[in-house]
Amino acid sequence: MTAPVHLHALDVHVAVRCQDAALAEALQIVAVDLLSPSSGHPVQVVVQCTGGGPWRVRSPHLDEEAADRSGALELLLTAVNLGVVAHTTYLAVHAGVVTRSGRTIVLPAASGTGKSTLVAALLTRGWSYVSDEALALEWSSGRVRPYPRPVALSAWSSTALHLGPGTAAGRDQVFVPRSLGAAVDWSPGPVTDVVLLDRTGASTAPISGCHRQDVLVALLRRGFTHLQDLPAAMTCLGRLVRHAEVHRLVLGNPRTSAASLEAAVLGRTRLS
Amino acid sequence: MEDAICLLCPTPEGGLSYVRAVATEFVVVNAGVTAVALDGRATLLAPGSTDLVLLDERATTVWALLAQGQPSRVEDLARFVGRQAGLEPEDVLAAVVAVVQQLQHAGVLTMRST
Repeated sequence: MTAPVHLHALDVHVAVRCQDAALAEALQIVAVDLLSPSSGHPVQVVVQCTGGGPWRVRSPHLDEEAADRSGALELLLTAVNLGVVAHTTYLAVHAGVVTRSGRTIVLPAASGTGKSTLVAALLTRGWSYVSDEALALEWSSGRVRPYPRPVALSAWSSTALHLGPGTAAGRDQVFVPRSLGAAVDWSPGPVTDVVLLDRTGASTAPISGCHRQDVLVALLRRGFTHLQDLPAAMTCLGRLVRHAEVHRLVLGNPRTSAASLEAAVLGRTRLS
Repeated sequence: MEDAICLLCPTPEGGLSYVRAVATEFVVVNAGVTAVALDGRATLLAPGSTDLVLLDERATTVWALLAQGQPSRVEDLARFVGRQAGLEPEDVLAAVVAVVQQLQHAGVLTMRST
């Protein structure tokens, strides 16, 4: 085994041990924003990868085999994410989060909805990165905590956003925010906008208002850790929604959708 | 987490005879109910439950009266709601009973005869 790669996110410490030094190095490159500044913290999750072809990845939440190194990297990232989400003590909701000019946008959505693609599109337009996976909040204060895991995009999304090649991870390409021209916002401000993503095309307007009750329900339905204390989660998210502007965005071309959203949120049109 | 309770629901289970029987019942909000009101619509969570109860604007008016602690009798509740809507109490009684009945099923409140 190579020296463990120590990662830290949402106050969860993960140690990843790999037999394959090249795989460990690839993990450190793509998970650079999660690298722990010190290994002195107690490790809550251990992820092990044995073999050098095939590769077997084992963690408390995953036990799978990959035939190639990119598949192994995808499994490692998945295992780390599952460990973080399972062990974090924050109120975590499945959502993308970006910031700019004092605005913090939350995009609650399930996997495969286009959330990460829209996040990446916004990053290429100058927004800062908080997460493409989770809105994480302190339960009592509602303060937003960053979870800057690498952005995972499908080949279709990479092409649609005119991106160069990222690092192959299974069927996806992963990108560190820096490679998209973005920085991580380590101290994001309060949530100012929540955007429900609509793929039904039921509305002709690209972006419209929606009812705050629908937004509250969407956030609760996407919760990772809300069942730790559901009444508190409801109260915390209710407070967030009450003070945020709420929108429904019809997803089309991700670059156009990002421009529409940016214009609505920042109050100006900057189509490109 | 998808069920919505709507004051415009038709006659509650049990028909009009049930409505008349329930009109004199007392209603008590259960302890530990979590409520979040957003833009005139309340979202409720009964203690120990993981199912959200979504109220529309009209059902929220019933809930708001109950949350304030009074009136506690169903027919008085209908009188309050009717006054707010500019309607006679008997015109809204069935709808109020439907809301109360569904809130009871959701574990939000308890009905009792005394």
